[in-house]
Amino acid sequence: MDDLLIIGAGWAGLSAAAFAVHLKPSAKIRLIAQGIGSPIVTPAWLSLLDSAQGDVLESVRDLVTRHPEHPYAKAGVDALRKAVQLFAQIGAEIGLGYQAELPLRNKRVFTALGSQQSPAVLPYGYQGAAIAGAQPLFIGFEGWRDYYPALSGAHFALIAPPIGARPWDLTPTDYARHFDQPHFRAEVARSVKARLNGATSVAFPAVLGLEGHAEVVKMLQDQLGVPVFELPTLPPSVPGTRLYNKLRRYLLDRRVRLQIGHPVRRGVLEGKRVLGVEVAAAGKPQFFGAKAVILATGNLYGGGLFSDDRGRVWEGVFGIPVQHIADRQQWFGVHMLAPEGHAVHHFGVRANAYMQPLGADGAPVAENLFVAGHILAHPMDAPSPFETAEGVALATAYRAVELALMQP
Amino acid sequence: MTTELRELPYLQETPFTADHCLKCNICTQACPVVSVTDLFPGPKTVGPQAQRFRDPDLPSPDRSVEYCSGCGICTLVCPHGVRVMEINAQAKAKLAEARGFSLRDWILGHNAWWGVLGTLFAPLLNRLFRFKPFRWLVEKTLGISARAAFPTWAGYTFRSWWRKRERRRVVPADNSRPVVVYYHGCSTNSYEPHIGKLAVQILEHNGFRVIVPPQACCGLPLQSNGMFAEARRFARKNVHALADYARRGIPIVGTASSCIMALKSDYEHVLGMHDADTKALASGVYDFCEFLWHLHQQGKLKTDFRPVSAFPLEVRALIGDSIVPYHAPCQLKAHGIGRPALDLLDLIPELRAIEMDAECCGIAGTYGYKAEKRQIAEDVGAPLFRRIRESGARLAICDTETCRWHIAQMSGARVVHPIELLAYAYGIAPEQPAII
Repeated sequence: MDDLLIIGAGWAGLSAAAFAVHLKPSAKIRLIAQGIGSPIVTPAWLSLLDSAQGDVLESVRDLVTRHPEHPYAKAGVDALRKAVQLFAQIGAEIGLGYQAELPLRNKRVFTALGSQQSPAVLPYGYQGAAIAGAQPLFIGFEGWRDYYPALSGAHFALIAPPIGARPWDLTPTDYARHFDQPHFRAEVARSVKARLNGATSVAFPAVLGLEGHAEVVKMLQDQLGVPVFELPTLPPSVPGTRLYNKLRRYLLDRRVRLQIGHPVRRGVLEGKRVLGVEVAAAGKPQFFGAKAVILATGNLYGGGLFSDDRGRVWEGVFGIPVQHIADRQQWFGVHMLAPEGHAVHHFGVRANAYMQPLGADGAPVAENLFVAGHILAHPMDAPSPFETAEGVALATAYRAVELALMQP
Repeated sequence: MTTELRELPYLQETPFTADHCLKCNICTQACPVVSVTDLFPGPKTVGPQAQRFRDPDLPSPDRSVEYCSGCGICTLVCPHGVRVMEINAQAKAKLAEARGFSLRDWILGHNAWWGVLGTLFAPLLNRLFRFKPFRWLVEKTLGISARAAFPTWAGYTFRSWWRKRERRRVVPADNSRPVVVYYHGCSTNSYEPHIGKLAVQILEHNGFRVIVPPQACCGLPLQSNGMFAEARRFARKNVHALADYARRGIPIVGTASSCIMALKSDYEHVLGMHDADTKALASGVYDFCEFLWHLHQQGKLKTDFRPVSAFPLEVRALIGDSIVPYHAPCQLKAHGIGRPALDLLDLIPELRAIEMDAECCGIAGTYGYKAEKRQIAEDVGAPLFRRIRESGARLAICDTETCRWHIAQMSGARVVHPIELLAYAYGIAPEQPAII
């Protein structure tokens, strides 16, 4: 039997595993997920509260006061601080250069569409954006449909690096693997240098290396003599893939069992205790027993919640009731990219202050079942969950792990 | 409380799972073949995407799918339940059906025969297959890579050992013991009978009566080479021979994780056999370590394990102070049983087995034996080989045979089945081969 079983390999599930390794190195930890999770479709920076001005943690404290049912309120601002700092520590240890010095302040980053975002914690590749100067040069690759630099800024250039025998259908990951090769990035540096023309910095789509990312950025900066930074691309995201790959190795080296590929199909309970879960494996279901279970399967997008054309919304493993709106007409607003998001993004399961999901009767579903990440309901009038995306995942994962590891 | 909320009655059949595909390319970035060659456009492109251009009654339009190694990592990483590898395996079979297959693929697909036939000429063949000019000739004429590691014929088969052992049995078998069926597979039968012997001895040590009924090759080499009709014939033989045991609740246990995966899943999801007997067999077969771990969870596994310091000197010398790298083969990951080998090895005092983070060793059954794919197979496994070398370990662990041979050749480590370490820990040595 495992000490802790985590369901889900998204931001919440993966961080929960990493946190658990730190908080209790002797614990037997297993993570089970259907497929690779959310980091690989995100820019891999940490959005804690993008609209915050000044000290982000202070603004989260205000948010929690205004919305006592917000996931941040359940986890506590203290858990958010600890989670972000521990994540940054691990992120630096695995070579991705995440920095989280207090007080946390939102940073300026550029997007591929020429707008700006303001996450609080950045991996190495985005950090140069803060010193981009007045005239960043945006670099794109000729013939690559995934990124066109003219959309990012007025000062741009297309280069044609040597991309091998298959110039079509390239993903960001393909380019990232090319950048891992020293001769390729040397060629890129040569082409870009010839077009610098007074640029104060150089922006690339986020493909600057998969394995040797820090090395690639450093080499380009040395060669070009100006700050170099990345812009998030279409998925699959290279910064997310870097994080996933390096976290995977980090967890396997620390004896965490990672089982990607087969979904948990149901929880097995006895009275008010979870005994374990049943996985939809080949041939027959497989049972995995655990002293405590953290459910981190995500919302409707992540695969933790399901819905149908009649407006029903349900949770797929334990059948936990979901806070939602029954009238499907009200799920979405008029503008797709409205900053306040859509009502449907706020749907989720309710939890108490001990991160235990609540059943229809308002009581915990089980004493050793905990919940983390975006499967948690956000109050309908709270900021868009995208604004607090990684912060909520990390804070609730941290708190859930703390409580789960106390289970006898 | 139980819920059955994930059950979707539709879109369960392999070709239709393509409808779940969002074209997110997560499978493409995870595909170990894509990462090393431009010849394969990726599992999404040749799988769910090309699926839209495939008519069940017409040949498959694109040959690039032949570069799919069938490792199945795409199916595992897909967050939406698309059976990408299975779609590709079926497309490969369509191609083979329409265009025919090479003599080389026919030979590789029928390794079940060569194992048994070659046993008669073992000393000769073992020399011949290590004679470089011969391998060069085989590569030039047939397209079987001269660089690929070939197993050695043991010179006797597991089944012959088993028959002799049964004949010589002095005390009649104890009928009060619970029965287990052992499925040995072709490789254990002809090349590595010691693994089969250890399996039998470990099961007996744990109080079981082992039986080894007639059985056929699982059919996976035929399936991987697109010869579905013949693969189904082998599959039906196994279903016919073994489904009844499964129905009677007698576990069928195998030491080759990839063969067991064929019985558990491929018969239905790749070969399209949906009958009740196939399903019964699928639910009754176990990977060897899976079975032992189930026993342990029920408190029925003997755990009289000796520490590594009590292992034979030559094994201790290989382990030294190092960790022991464990590679979970792709086919084992596809079981969805976790890492029972690691869970069991953790019970052995002083042993520190660590799972390597490499996805695939590259060999993928017969794929890495093909001359035009050999470099891909070596490049795919390079990170794994590097990690094993960097760890300083001279002993590594892996559950499937072709992976073991490939990793051993490319990393220089000795690579063993987990059962071999369990046997050392139990103090069990393989019984001597019967003299033929």
